[in-house]
Amino acid sequence: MVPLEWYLVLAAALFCTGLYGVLSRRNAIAILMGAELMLNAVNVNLVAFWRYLEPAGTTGQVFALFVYAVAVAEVAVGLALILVIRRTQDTVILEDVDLLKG
Amino acid sequence: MSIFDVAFNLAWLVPLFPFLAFAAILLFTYRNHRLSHQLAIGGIAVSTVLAQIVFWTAVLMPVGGGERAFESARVPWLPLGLEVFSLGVYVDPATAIMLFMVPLVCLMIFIYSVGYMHGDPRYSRFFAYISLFAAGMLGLIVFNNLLAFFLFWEIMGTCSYLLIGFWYEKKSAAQAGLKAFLVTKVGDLFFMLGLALLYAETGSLAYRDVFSPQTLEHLAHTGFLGTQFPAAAVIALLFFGGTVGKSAQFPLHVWLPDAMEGPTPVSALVHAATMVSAGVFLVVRTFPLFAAVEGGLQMTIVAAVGAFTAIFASLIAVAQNDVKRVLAFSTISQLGYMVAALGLGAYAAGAFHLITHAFFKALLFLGSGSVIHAMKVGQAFQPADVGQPSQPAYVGQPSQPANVGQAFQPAHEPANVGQAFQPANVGQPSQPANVRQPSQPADVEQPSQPANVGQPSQPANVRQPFQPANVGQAFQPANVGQPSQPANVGQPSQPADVGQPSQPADVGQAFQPAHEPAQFNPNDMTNMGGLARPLRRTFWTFLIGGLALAGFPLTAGFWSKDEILAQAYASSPAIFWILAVAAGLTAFYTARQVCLTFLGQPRTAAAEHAPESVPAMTVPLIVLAVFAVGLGWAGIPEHFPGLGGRIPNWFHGFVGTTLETAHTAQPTAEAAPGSAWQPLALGLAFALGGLALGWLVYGWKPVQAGEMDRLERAMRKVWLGWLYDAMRERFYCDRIYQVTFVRGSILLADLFHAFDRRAVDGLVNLAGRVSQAISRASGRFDVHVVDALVNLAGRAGRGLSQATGVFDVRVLDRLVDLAGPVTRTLADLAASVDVRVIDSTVNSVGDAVLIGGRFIRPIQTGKVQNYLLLASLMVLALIVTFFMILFLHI
Amino acid sequence: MTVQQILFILFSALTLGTALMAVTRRNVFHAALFLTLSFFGVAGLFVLLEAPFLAGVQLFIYVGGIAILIVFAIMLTREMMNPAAPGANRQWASALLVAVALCGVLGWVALNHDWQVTPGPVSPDSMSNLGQALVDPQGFVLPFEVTAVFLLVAFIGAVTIARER
Repeated sequence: MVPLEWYLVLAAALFCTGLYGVLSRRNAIAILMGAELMLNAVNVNLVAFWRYLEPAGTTGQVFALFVYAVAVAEVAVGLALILVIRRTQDTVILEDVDLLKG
Repeated sequence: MSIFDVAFNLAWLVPLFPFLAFAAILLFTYRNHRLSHQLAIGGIAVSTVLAQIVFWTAVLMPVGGGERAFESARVPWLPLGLEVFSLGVYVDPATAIMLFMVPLVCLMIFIYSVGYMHGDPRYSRFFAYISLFAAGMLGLIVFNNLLAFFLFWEIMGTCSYLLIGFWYEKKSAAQAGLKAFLVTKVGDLFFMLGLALLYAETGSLAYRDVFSPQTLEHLAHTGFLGTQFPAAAVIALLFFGGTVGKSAQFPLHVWLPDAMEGPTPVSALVHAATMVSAGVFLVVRTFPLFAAVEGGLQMTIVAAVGAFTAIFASLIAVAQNDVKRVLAFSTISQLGYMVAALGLGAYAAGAFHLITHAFFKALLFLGSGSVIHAMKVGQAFQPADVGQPSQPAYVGQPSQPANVGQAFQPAHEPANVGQAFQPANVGQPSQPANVRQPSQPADVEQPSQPANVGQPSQPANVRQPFQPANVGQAFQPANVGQPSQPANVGQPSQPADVGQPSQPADVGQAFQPAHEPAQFNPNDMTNMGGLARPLRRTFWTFLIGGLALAGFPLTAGFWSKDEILAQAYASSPAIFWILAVAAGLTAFYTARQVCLTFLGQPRTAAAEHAPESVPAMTVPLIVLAVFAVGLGWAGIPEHFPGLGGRIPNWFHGFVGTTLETAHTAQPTAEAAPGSAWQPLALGLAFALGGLALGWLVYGWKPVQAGEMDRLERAMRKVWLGWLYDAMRERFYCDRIYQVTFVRGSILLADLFHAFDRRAVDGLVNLAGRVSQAISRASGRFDVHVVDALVNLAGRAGRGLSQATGVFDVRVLDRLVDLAGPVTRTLADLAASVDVRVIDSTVNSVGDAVLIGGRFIRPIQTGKVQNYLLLASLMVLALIVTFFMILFLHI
Repeated sequence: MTVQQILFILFSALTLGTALMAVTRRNVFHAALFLTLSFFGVAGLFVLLEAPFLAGVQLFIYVGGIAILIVFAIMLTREMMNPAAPGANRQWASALLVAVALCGVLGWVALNHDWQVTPGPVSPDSMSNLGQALVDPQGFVLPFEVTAVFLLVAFIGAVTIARER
């Protein structure tokens, strides 16, 4: 049996990889990809907890399914926004979109 | 486990190797042309060897108790709810003979393609596709259930789309690919319905389950949806629908002639050996379903469709001028033969013809490819003396109606597709690439100038940038410099275009009637002639193939066709006579094709300079020719006087047992007829008669350049010109479909669009208008009622205020004025306090805020990621703090 | 080392490795491809965790939906990226620091906490239980329905945002 801690550490690493992606990539789509990695890590966490703490129930899996739904909605809207940004600002590099600069 | 089991269990490897070749080519060897074709040929060669092992094992296996079908263990493949579909290998005699033929023919075609497709930029992709195609066909043959069959059937459909439209820059090719896919899809729909119905009735799609005697009994007696039609018949007819699509029977035959837009090896592969055979193989495989209901309508329908298609297509073939089109319609006709044979219950005869036809039809297609290739090389040929005053010999070339007509039929003729891919060196030994370049301003554009005659120093009718290597020109999407020529992609890229002063096409344009200067079409038989001398090997092998197709005695085609005719004679005189006449027409157009192409004198410069093809192309022709003759000896019918009976009909014996193991009712036509010399004699008469007639009309006095087709001339004289035109135009099937189905669908779509716009949008707009009306009503209420009240109150207030005002002015103001100066003095005092004390406080606060703001402002960079970083840092800090509190202070 | 542990290591190596590639590749299309592989790795992990249905959902939704969508978006915005430009922005060092620190903290918490693991078996009906839980009035039917509406809203919103004026 694989110890639960391994899964949690993996999820943490995956999450932080995604976080690094979100914080440090220039292309807006790459940032979105980082966000997806974070959501994946969350799902791994949820399912691992489900398996190891309450395998007879369904809560963990249900939670993961809702996370999928949210991820999908987020990607759709996010990509729509990116397309609009590209159309209006003529760039997809988020660093250059600083209209709210103080 | 006996050695037989071992051999059969390996049958699944047969489709695996071409599939691995396909994957490997696409992933790894895409850039390396030589490695790609080596992988593809290696894959199919291994498959051939394995398939031959399986075949000979099946043949030599001792028949124990009549069981000749082998099925391997089933591997669970597709769990569906409670059911699990399994996959396994099924080898019976029908499988074995297909395994004998298919990989062998595919191997020959692959080797041929090495020569034919040489220099094509997408060479590797081609080999990947045909490997996938071969894998699809082989998978269809060896697996044990109808779902896998259908899966590979669809894989082949996709591959045929990809391959027919291989040169996709040419619009007609892309359209032809789409047409093939869509038309066969109509047939596939019926196939799918049949599968669904079969599964619903029996709960399984594996051959072992579906073709067991109990299941067949059940199906034969169950009504379809409560009616009295037996389910077996309905399912059989639905499957036959798939065959009608895939094997191009009437009315779904329209895709096959247009599929000639693909490269010739594709035509050979798809339309001789594999895809069209798959349709017939479907009927062969599901034959127990057809035979389950005795004397059923389904067999009659199958036979009728087959016979009609046979004669219909052969009539069209007689009037075609494009060498590949003739073969395409010939294929449709021969498939009609096979389908008719199966419809008559002549199972072994139909299967035998399938096998022999694959060999000689592939041979004929490859041979025609060799001819076309030679014609293109000949067209590009540049004699050493610059200036070419000797052109006038071919001046009369293209004034035939056929050429002109081709200019207006962009979808039909693959006019110059292949010209795009001239291998850089074939046939042009004296052609340093830039021969005439210095002496010409190479940029003169010459689309259509009748005055070309006698102007040897004119540059070619192509505006040609200076390019030493011409292979890459294939993909100039715009026909640079040739705006008025419809079927013309690739014309610019002939290496000899550089500086070629006067192609026969140019010169001949002098004789074109108005509009389009017809481009030289290398496929057109009226441009050929006299090719027997230069193309020796191609000629002899083509002749053998043609004789086999026509049913000349001692060729394989003769034995197989004779057997079908014999069975037809015994079952149904009507069908027999239709098939016999079709056989006669087949012989006639074959003779016509051979005479026009190979005999007589060359009718154009291209034909005069055409060279023999490379060995990579001619060796497969020879191998296939050997089979086209030799294979017949395996299936000599018993009734044949003399040889019949002495040399046993191995084929019938081998394949016929498939039916016995299925325990179906033996169709009566399987019994070898006793008095069987009549069909033989009649068949021989039609075949030899057709050949002789064809030779008399076209070969005895060779056809000259520019001459109208002799049959056409004859028919016009007896007021049958309309019939000839109909034959030439394929009996207008395409136009009928265009006007009915295509326009109908578009009309339906327009109807729905209009409904959407008017009804649906109307409802939505109505809601909007209702809201608007409501708001307008409220507005009016507001204006007329509420405002009136308010105005009244206002006027009353005004009166009051006026009174107060007077009071205010006279009394109060005097008091106030008094207070004025007093207050003013107070104010001045306060002002100075305010300015000095309070304002300075406020200002300093303001300054402090400004300084603080300036200090903090850099945080608001406007960049999202900076904010996120800050947030992450905060989160991290919070977590750390939380855990510190938790663990250190508790 | 049991087979399970070896498989876990393989899958997590795949997942993490490709995830790292996905966030560092300069060519965003390559990054998307690596991301897809990472999704496959996660699906494998789900299989190891005996949640085959979720593995399937992962493949359908992430690989079959989101990855494709991302590829589309990349194609639509292709000419915007200069291929020689760096992939990371100016704060990459701080970002790396924060990420590593966070990973460290989370990992430390994970390893040092006593998770009361109850290693019971997964019921063979887990998938049908899941389905029932989603429509059970005492279960998750409300979030389920709300999610449906939510997805519709997101869909309409995305279309409206990205519409050509």
